[in-house]
Amino acid sequence: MTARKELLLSAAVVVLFAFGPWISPLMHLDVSIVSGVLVIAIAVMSVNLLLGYTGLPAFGNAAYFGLGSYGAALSVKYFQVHFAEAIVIGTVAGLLGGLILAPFLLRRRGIYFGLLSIAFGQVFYFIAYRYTDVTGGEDGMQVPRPLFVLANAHATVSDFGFYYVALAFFVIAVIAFRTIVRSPFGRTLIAIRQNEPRVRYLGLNTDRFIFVALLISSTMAGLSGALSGLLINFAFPLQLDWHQSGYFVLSMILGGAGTVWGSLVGAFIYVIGNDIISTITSWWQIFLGALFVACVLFFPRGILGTLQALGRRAPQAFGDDDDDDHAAFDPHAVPEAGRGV
Amino acid sequence: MSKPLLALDGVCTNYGKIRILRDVSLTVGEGEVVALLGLNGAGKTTTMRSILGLTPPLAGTVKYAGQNITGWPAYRVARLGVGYVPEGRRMFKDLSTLENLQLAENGRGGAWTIPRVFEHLPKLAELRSRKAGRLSGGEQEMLAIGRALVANPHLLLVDEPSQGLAPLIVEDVYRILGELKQTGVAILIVEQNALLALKIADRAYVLDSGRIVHSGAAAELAADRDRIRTLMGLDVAPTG
Repeated sequence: MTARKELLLSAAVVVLFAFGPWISPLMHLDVSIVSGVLVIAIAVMSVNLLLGYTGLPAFGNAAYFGLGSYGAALSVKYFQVHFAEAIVIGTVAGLLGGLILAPFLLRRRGIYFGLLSIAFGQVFYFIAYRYTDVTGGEDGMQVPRPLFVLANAHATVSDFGFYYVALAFFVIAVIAFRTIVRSPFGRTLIAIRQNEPRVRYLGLNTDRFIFVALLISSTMAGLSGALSGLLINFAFPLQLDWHQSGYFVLSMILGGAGTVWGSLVGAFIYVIGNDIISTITSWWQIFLGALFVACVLFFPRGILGTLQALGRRAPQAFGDDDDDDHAAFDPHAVPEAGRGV
Repeated sequence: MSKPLLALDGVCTNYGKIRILRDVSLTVGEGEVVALLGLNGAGKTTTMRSILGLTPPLAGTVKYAGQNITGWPAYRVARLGVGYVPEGRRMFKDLSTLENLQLAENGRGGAWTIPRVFEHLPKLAELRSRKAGRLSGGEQEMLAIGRALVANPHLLLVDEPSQGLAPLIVEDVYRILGELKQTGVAILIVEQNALLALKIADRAYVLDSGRIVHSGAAAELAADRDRIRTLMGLDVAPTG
């Protein structure tokens, strides 16, 4: 896709979302559901950076997500901070979680990285679950949405207002994400996904790159968690649970691993599908699971990844050698042969 | 011979419990081209991996420019100025030609820059924005060599450069290696095609079942076909 086309398409998506509060009633959706899509998309991006681009099984990103949510909720409850401060504190909580876990996670690769991520995530889950006095335990903690304060003026943040806060953060996140994956740093992450020893003998300390990727990812997940907590005025242990991490991974694969906009597509399907189907049947997870199985079997590049690949088949329209497809995390991909570096 | 740039002394390396290298000792001098010959499975690639720290030796030492680098992580060995052109080329297929080169540029500085690589390998310049996965085998070999060059190595480890390439392209590759030799880069070249490697090498070692079974001047070995036949246990087809 040419740069101009990509810019136009991206702008169209953002403009479409700018009219979200007017479009969503037409689809019988509450505007806060669409806010949820934008917020969750940021968490899915955080998984995409690690799994889709770097090839690290990020099966524990809910830890940072939950830390963001609890960071915001606890600071509102115990320190009466305002809206913007709560977002900052939640985001920093996610980053700190990444700083604490990264040195341990860095020691392993492949499936062991994934298992370690889950295990560490569950530690945070049980802390929130057991430390009832502070966190409300299993019931979670309800906190009223704090006021937005700027200088001497303050205002309540309505669901309508929140939507635009979510949209603003989403746009910032997408721009940052795209800049990162297009940078030499991002290119190195892609190279690590393909063959880490090869990157090492070219003279690059891959641990450092992965460390930074982990910090970026945990910060994004923390931001998403903070916004999520403030959106529903609620923090609860399941936000830290490995199931939550699984939903992020699932959304990423559905949308398209290793694509910038795939995270939004995945989050859209996950959040909206969840909302619509769960009003019809409590077995909504069966449908999500079936969709996921179909996705892995028939279009492993995800929805957006598949569309992009189809687009490239029309060479007169898109075909050039400098297209920006990275067939990322592909469950059908044949791993590179054994000892080859 | 002057003080060696690379010196392996009594290196033993295992894959799991299986011993691959047994007491391998060899040297490569400044600006010298050394061929490491042997059959499939003799331990040639493992020798290179042991130097690079990709499979750290269990015993013995690897010294580079007098410094003991045994078991160092690969990225630190690379930063000292050891370039590697792996067997089967091994590009980052999702990255463009240019990006593959940029990845290897390490800011150590030196004569080789990306524009200079493009100048020497004009084919690569034409293909700068093409994904490496879409290059032909010969183009990938050029890129692999270019990638090793932009890091400005003092020592280049080249693994089976002729493997799977058309004869004309093999000639091209060896021409470039010959040019490199002129610029003073030391090269350790692993090759099954013995006569090909012996043409540009100063000295040669022959590996068999993980042991060095012969070492000596390349020209001497090249002239003695019977010797090659006994050492490598196969008929050597005359080339070129």
